[in-house]
Amino acid sequence: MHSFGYRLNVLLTQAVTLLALMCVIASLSDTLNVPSPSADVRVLHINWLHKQRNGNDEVSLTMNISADLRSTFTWNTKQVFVFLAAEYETEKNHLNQISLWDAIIPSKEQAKFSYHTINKYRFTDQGNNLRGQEYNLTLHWHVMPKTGKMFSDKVITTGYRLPETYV
Amino acid sequence: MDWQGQKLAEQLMQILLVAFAVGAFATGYVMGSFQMMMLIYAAGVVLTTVVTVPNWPFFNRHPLNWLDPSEAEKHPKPQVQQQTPSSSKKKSSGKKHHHLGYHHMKYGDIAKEERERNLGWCWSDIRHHHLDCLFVSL
Repeated sequence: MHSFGYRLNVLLTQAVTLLALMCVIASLSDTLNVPSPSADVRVLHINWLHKQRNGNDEVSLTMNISADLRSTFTWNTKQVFVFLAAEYETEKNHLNQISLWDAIIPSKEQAKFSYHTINKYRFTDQGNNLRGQEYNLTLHWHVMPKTGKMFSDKVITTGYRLPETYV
Repeated sequence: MDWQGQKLAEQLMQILLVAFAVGAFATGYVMGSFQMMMLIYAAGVVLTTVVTVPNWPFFNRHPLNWLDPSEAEKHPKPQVQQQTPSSSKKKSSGKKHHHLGYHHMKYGDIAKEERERNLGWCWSDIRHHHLDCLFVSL
């Protein structure tokens, strides 16, 4: 502690170390939060189901996506990234997962939402297996923190089926 | 700063930083505001810098008593033997240490009559913050 520069160096190092420690504890405090989210996805209308030029099937859906993710927010949450995935099994692939829609929820107040929309991203198959295909719609969300560990979870809704013929 | 002041500065720095860290975290957690935690902690770091880093007068309340130059001339420094193992270990790099301007001297090298006169030379180790010293008490 014998000079100005030395004291300044020690102080800054200790301050930054304590800051890192605070961030670690803040991240650990996220585990105390037990979220109770709810979600509901409905397919309102199959707009079309056809075969592309390259042989792959494609479908367009109109959906209503509603959820209440307010309980996933903590004091250490920067935003929640939520996306809807269609999941189904084919002969070729054990699991096909296609992201249909996503959104960023920046604050707790906006975490209760209801979107009436068509799929933001194309629902395209690897092949032509979509006729009569059964699929699940899974809503995934990633809780992104300000510091530390990101938590993610999902809710699966089953029982959707595509038309038997091209529409 | 003098030695006591340096110790005080170090203690103040650590206590203030930890106190502000704990206080900032508790306040931020209870209020549910990450930003509040950051602001309180930043204010705490600035306050600690202002209190402990500059050379304030209250860090100099136990100044060292330097030997008066006229007295120093009356009692010349004892000669260092060339082959003492401790001094060759310490002075091997030939580095000049900035601590007090005294020369490195083991206590045992000082002549017996000088010890009886309560006069001697100091040896300090800047890294360990302590001072083994013979006082001038004339």
